[in-house]
Amino acid sequence: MTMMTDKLTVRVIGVGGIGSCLLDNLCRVLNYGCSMYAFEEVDIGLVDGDIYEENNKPRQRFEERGNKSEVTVQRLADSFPNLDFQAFPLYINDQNINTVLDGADVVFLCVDNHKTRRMVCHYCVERDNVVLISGGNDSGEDGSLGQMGDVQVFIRKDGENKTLPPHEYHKEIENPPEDDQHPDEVEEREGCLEEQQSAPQLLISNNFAATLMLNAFHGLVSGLFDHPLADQVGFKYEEVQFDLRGSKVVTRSIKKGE
Amino acid sequence: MSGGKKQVKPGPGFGPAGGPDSAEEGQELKRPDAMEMVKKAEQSLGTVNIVYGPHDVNFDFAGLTIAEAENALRGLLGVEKGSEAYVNGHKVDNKSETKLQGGERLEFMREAGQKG
Repeated sequence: MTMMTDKLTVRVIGVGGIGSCLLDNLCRVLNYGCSMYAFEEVDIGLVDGDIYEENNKPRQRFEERGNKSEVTVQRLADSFPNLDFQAFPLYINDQNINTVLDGADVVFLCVDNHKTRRMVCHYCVERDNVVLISGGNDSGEDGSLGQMGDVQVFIRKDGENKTLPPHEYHKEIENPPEDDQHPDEVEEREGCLEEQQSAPQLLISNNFAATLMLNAFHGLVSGLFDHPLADQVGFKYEEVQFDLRGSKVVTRSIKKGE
Repeated sequence: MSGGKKQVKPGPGFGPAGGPDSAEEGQELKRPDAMEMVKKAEQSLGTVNIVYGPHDVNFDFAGLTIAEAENALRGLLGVEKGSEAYVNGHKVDNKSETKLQGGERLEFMREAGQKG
């Protein structure tokens, strides 16, 4: 799907581990690569109700404390003058999702809970045209030590699904487990598991997931996904999975019912 | 260096007529089915194809139950406890009683990464 639009509206939901890694490079390509991508105007909105705290420093870039979307917008606006930034200092929920995502061409979903993923997936399947790129990695609690992760790519064009929405092939997104909490349900936000979040491999995993998300975006914008043989060679896909312990990356093209 | 092209004689079974396995005139050439050969070899060796996330590897797991295979792979591949298991595409409900056979494909479903 080549994105032939003069104005590009982007929303990045979650400005934590993956989101903060994604944003610098995403803004760089949008600010300086506009002629290649042919966008005359880029509106980029950052959505996060969380605040930066000292314990975020091992994985997240910020110079001052405060709401993540506001602090990051302030920092990026100075570096990337061709982009129009907006801060949404809130957690996305049923009440505000229409306002926040209205008119979005591309949504980068970088959250740490499946309930938000489900909400955004359900929203996107009701839109006529939208691209959803969602990334996540393990927490470090399992045997992979946080070095496995994945990125899902959902393309909705002219009211039709061009790829499957993530909640249709990931049951845990459609039916999140009991311990999965939307941030509005958490009384005191603890961020991502204090004990593990300083583990260096998580920063690498966050960066890698962010790179795969940006790479998927480039594949879409450059028209690579449109090639008639893209499916067969793995250039068009629903999901990318990775395990950095073996530097393994595999794309998956998933058919309905799989 | 002679500079001339090295002449390569056709190998058995594949090349033009002349090799010991070549078909007689009028007979259809039959190529060996490589996948079938691999499958037979795996069956005889007790190899099971394991799929989990980006991993697609073979282990000598024939004779193990699926629960045993899952335990063995937990620390190595990070297979999560209670992952849904499929053998040759069919979901397995009783992992502790279902034994694996050589040549089978065992896939553990991997959940999407939760953390962002």
